[in-house]
Amino acid sequence: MGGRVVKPKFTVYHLFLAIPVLYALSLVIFPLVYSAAISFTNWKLGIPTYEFVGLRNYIDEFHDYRFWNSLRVTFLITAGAVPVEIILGLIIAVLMSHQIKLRGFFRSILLIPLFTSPVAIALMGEVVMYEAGGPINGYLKLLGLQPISWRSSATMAPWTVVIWDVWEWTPFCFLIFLAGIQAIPRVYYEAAEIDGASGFQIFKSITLPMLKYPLITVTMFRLVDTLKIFEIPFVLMAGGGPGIATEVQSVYIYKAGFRGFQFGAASAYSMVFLIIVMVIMMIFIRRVRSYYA
Amino acid sequence: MPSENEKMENNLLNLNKRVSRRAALSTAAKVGITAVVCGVVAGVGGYFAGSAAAPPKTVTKTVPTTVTATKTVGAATVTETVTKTVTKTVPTTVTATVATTPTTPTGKLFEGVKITGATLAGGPKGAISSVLYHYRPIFKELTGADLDIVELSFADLPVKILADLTTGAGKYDFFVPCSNIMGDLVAGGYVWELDKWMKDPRFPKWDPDSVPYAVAQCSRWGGHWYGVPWDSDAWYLNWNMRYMDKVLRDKDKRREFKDKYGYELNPYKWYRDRELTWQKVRDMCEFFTGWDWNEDGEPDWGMIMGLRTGEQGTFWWEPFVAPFIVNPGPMMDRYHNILYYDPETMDPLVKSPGIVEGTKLFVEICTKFTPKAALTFTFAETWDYFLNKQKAMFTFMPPDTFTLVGNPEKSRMRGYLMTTPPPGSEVYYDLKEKRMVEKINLIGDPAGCHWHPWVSKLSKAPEAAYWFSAYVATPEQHRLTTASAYAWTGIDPGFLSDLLTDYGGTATLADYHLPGGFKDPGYPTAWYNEGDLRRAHIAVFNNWFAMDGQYNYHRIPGATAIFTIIDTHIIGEAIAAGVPVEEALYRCWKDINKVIDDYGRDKMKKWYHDAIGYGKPNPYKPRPWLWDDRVVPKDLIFE
Repeated sequence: MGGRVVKPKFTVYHLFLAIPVLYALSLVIFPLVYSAAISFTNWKLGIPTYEFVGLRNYIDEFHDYRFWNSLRVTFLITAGAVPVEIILGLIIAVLMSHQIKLRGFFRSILLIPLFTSPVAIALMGEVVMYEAGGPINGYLKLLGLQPISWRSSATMAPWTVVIWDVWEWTPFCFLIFLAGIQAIPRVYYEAAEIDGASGFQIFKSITLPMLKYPLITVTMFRLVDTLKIFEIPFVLMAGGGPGIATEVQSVYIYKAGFRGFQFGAASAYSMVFLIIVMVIMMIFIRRVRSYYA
Repeated sequence: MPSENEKMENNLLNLNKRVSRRAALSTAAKVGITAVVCGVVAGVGGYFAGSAAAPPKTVTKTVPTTVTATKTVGAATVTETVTKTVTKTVPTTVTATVATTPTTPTGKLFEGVKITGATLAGGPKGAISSVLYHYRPIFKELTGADLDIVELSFADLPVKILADLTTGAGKYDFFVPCSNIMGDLVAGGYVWELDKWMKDPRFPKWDPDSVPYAVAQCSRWGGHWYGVPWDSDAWYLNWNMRYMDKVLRDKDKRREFKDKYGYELNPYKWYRDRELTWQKVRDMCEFFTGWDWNEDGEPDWGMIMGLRTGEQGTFWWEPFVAPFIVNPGPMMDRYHNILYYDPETMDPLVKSPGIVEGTKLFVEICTKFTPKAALTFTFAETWDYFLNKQKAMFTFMPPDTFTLVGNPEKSRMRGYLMTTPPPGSEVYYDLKEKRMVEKINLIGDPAGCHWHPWVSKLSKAPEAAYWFSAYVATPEQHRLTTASAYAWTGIDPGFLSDLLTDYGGTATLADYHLPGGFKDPGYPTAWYNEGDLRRAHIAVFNNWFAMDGQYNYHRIPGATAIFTIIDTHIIGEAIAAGVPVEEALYRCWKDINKVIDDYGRDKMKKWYHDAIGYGKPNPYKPRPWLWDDRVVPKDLIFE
C-alpha cells in the first residue's frame, strides 16, 4: 500500500502553537544554550575578548569553599522552611475549612503575604527586625528578655531567612490545600461521622490521603522555589550576610557575575545549580511514583 | 451549503485531528525563522529610526531669586537676605536633531547637541545626582546643549556602564561611577584622555594643582588625566565633643583612664601634635564602652561603623590598616607608598605582618567596642546612631558626617563634632627590612567612592560631555558643590580652593552663610556651625596635604571583585562570623590571587605600574601640619 505523502494544511491551530514555541525558544532555550556556551569561556565584563577554557570554571567551582557553603546554606534554608510551610499551611487550611466566625476575613488576611512583593517583605523585615530598636527586640526588652541578633549573628541569620520565607509562602500552601479539602466529597466525612470516627482519625484516614496530589504539587513547587531563593537573603541580609552566613546559591552566582564581573564563571555556576535542582526533582518524583505505585 | 451541524462536526474533526511530528516541527521551524527575520528587520529599522529627531519635551528651569526675610534670632530682630531657588516648569517644545559633532558656534558652543549622563540614583536632591540636575539648566543656558540624566542604583552602575561600553551600545556620553572601576575603564580603552581639552580655551578651566595628589590619582593614569576630579572622598575620625569634653573635665574619669592605660586621656593634644593613633583610639573606645556617659539610662559604646556586608566595608578596613603597612618615601618603588601589591610580583600584601596587626586591631574594635547591630547598619543608620542617638563616642565615616551634623532632622550634635584625619599607627611593617618598626606613621586616606565623571569613547559629543564635567570642577562651582549650597551633593571638599581662606583656600564664611565670630545663625540659614566647619576643613587639609604619606586608590581592573572579596572575608567572616584574622586574610590573599591570574598576572603588573607611576618620584610632598587653637577648648589640651 504505497501512499503518497500528504502535506498537512497550515491551520490556525499551528499559529496558536507558535506562541508558546516562540516563548520557549527565545526566553528559555536560547538563554540556556547561550549560558551553557559561555560557561566554557573566561568572559569578563569590561574585557571584549574571551577564550575557551574548557572545564576550568567547573573545576574551580568545586574547589571553592564558598560553593559548598552556599549549597549547605541553601539546603539548610530549604529543609527548615519547606516542611514548616506545608505543615502550617495544612493546619490553617483544615481550620479554615470549618465554619468559623469571620472565616472570610481571616482567609483574606492570611493571603496578604502571598501578594506582597518579596523585596517589600525583605525591607519590612529590616524594619521589624532592626536590632538597635525595632519592634520585635523592643517587645523582648519590655518582657525582660535579651534582644535577638536576627541579622548580625551568623548562627541566627539563616533562621531569620527561614522565618520570612515561611511567612511569605505559607499562604500559598494554605490556598492549595484549602482548594483540595473543599474538593473532597462530603459523603466520606458523613460516613466517617456515622461510624463514630474522631477528628484526628478523619484527618488521617480521609483528608490526608485525599490531599495526596495537592501535597505532591505543593511540595514540588516549594522545593524548587526555596532552592532558588534570592530576594530575602539578598535584600534583608545584604547580599548573603553577615559574611557568607546566608549566601545561598543564587546570591553566590549573582556575586560572581555582577560583583566579580565573571560572566563565564557565573554561567558555569548556574549550570551546576540547574543540574543539582533537576537531580533533586527527579529523585523526588521517582520516590513519589514508587510510593504511590 | 453545509448545515450548522455539519460545520460543527467539521470543526470538531479539525480540533481532534492529529498533527504528525514532522509537520509540527516543520511548522515550528517556519514560524521561528519568520520571527527571527522579522526581528532583524525591526532591529535594523529601529537603528536607523534612532537618528531621527528627538521627541518634543518640556524643559524644567531652575530660577534663583532673592528674598528678604525678617527673622527673630534670640532677643533681636534680624533682617536676613536669603537666596531661594525656585523651580519653575517652563513648557517649551524642543525638537533637536542629534548632531554627530558640535555645531560651529552660531551662538552657543553646543547648540542642538544632546548628551546623556549616567549617575547614582538619588533624584534631584540626592547625593551625586543632584549635581547633574542642578547644572543641567545652567549647561543649557551656557552652551545650548541638552542633558539627559540616567539614574542607576549603586549595584547597577558599574555593570550597566561596562555592559554599555563592552557591547558598543554607547547609550551614555559620560558617567559618574565609583572610581573602583577606573582600571576597567582606562585599561580597557573605553574613556577619552582629557589633556588636549584641558589646554583648549573653549572649555572651563579647573585647577589640577589644587587637587590633592591622592584624589588626582583617582582620575589620572600613566601621568595623563582621564577623569575630571570632582569628589575628594575619605574616611575621617569623628568624636562627640559634648560628652568627650565632659569626661575630660571630670578629674575622676581622667584618673580612671590613666590608672587603666598608664597615660593621660588627651585626644586634642594628640591630634595637634600628630600623635593620634589607632592604638590610642582603641583604648578610648574601650574606656567609653559599657557605661552611660550620655545619661540616657542605657550603657553606651566606644565606636560605631556601618559594617553591613555588601556596603562599603572595604573603605573602613583599608584606611585603618594603611598606617600599618604604607611606608612613605620619595620614590614610587617596591617598598614605599604602596598598600595592595608587591609591584614586582603582584603578590597581594594582604597577608603581610603589618596588615595582620592592623586587621587584628580593627576586628577588636569592631567586635568588642561596637554594637553587634552595626553589622546590619547602612550609612544612614550609622549616622543616626552617632549624630542623633549619640550612643557611640567615635565614628569613622566619610565627610558627609559634617554635612549632616548641622541638620536638626538628622543630628543633635550641631556644634559638637570633632573631625580628624584617620589616626596613624604606633608601629608599622617595614617592607624592605621585613620587620615591625616602632614609629608613629600617619597615612592619608583616599577611601571612598570618589565620584568622578568619565567621557565615553562611544560618545557622539564627547566635547560637550567634557565641558559639563569641567564646569563643575572649576574653583567657584566646586566650592558651591562641596559646600552643598544647592542640595546635599555628596561631593566632598578636598581641593585647596574648597577650603576656607584661613586654611589656604578661597572659600569664605559667607559662602556657608556664616556671620563669623563663631556665631551660629542656625539651620537652615547655615547648614554648618562655624566650629564644625573649621574643624572639618582642618582635617581635610591635614588628610590630603600634611600626612607623612599617601597611598594609591585601588583601581586596576578587577578592583570591584577585590573589594567584594575583602568585604566578604574581613567584614563578613572575621568580624561577623568570628573567623580568625589570619585565616580571613589568607582567604583574601587566595581569592585576590585568583582574580589577578584570571586577568593575567603580567597584564595586571603593567596596569598596576601605570596606575601608580611605578619607578617615578613620588609627587606627594607633605606640607606643614595645620592647627587652629580656636576650634577646640584650650583647657582640654593637657600639656
